[in-house]
Amino acid sequence: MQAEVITVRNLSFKYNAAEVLSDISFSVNAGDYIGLVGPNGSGKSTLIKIILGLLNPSKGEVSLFGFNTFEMKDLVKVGYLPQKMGSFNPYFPSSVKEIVALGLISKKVFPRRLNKSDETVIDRALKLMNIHDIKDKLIGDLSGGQQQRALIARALVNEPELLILDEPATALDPETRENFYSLLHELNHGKKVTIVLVTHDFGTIGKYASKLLYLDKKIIFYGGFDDFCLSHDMRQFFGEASQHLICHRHD
Amino acid sequence: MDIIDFLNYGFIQRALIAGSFIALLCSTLGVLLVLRRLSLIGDGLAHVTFGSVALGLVLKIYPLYISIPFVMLSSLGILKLMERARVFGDAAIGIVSSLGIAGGVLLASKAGGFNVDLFSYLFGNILSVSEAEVYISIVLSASVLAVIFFNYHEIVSVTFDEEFAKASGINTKKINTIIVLFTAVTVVLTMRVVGIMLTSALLILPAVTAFQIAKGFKYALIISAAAGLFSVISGIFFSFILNLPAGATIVIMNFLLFIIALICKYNFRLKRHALMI
Repeated sequence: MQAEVITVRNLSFKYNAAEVLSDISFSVNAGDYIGLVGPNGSGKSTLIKIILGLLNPSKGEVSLFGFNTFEMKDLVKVGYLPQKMGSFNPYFPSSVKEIVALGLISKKVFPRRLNKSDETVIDRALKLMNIHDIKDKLIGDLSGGQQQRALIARALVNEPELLILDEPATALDPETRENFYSLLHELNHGKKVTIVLVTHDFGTIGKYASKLLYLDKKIIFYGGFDDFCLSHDMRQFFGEASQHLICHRHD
Repeated sequence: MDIIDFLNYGFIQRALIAGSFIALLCSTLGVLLVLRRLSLIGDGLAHVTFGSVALGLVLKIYPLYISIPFVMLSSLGILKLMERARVFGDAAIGIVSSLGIAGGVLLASKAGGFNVDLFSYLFGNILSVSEAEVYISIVLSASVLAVIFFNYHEIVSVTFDEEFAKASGINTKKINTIIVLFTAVTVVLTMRVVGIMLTSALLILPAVTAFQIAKGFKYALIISAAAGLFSVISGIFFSFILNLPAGATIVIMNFLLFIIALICKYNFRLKRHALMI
């Protein structure tokens, strides 16, 4: 039996009086590739933030690798790419290399100094995202797509066992996007990295993910694509065209 | 008068030592505050300092002793407002700042109006810095630099992207609290250098000067510190030679450095553009 990487039990979250998430329960096994989809405001980013311990749930429990999220010390295992790429200061005076290096400091103990072997790891992440030649440029001097690649490299640099990506491909051009998804596929298949990918791109989900989690304040569907594609209820819920888009590419 | 005579005065020595360390404090903290879009926290806390100085003068207690704890509490109040009341940083600073000014005006009016002492705090007088203030500024500068040195990557991470930093297991709350508490004490000390009205200039100008030319976070901290130091030392020197108010001269020197950095940046860009053509 595969180990549970993420376990969510009876989770609810309220923002002021409004219920954002209602009675969510699911688990993610090691090696899963979850496509987390849902309309705007459905609670996808909130769910991810609760899983990572950035927000406290109103009710319920969340654990990562068998430990309560808020007690988990070994966050080295998790790579995270937040949604709001443009939220950082565009004049931030750090080079691409410095930004990518920030992904390594969670595995360091006080005073969290980087060493020679870290340089090699950073270089590898830079090459993986094809930004090695711009490693000394200031992050603010790059295009949106290049900045996004730097942030993805920061999430990948500590070789996480679980990768949580919140709409990572938004600013990427089609070629980079395709390469990026191929890289995630390779990480998932080759290195058995568990992936949770938040996206609006149904086609991509159908092509790469192993499971679909459709969220709209509560879980509408969670399971494999065979179940999803054969489900009459889901066809009625999504409409035939959307279901076809997801299922057609999942050969 | 030659430079040796100038340096022989005890009050000049105290001003130079305290001013240099306070400049180091302001310029390093300024980099963190400006990047986190909290530039005006210095201004806000300086207004709170006005209230606390008025309280000290009314109670006949040395204002620094009242101001340091008072302003530290206010800085934590700004943090709490941002976290709990979901108020943006600028609004939280505005609330605390206006409360500080209102409190100061009320206290001053109760005490029979604004007096010379209160005005001296508004515009500062670095040449009247006491020996105790020199020691406080040295200890505090050493503490700030040590904290930045030992928590460098955590501070960069929190400053760049707080959400990612928190998800990486960094205690962002601790880092934020340390930064605002240091800022609070720095603001109180800076009031003696340039006065309440000009405190934020010492936090903002060296940092934005550094951002024009720095090619990395470490360089930004070093350039900002150098700009802050140069402004304070040259400001004290020119103010004494030309018989000008020291605080205002320091701020003008800071501004001149910013303009020079701006010109350097555009010159460099023009040259690079020409080379590319």
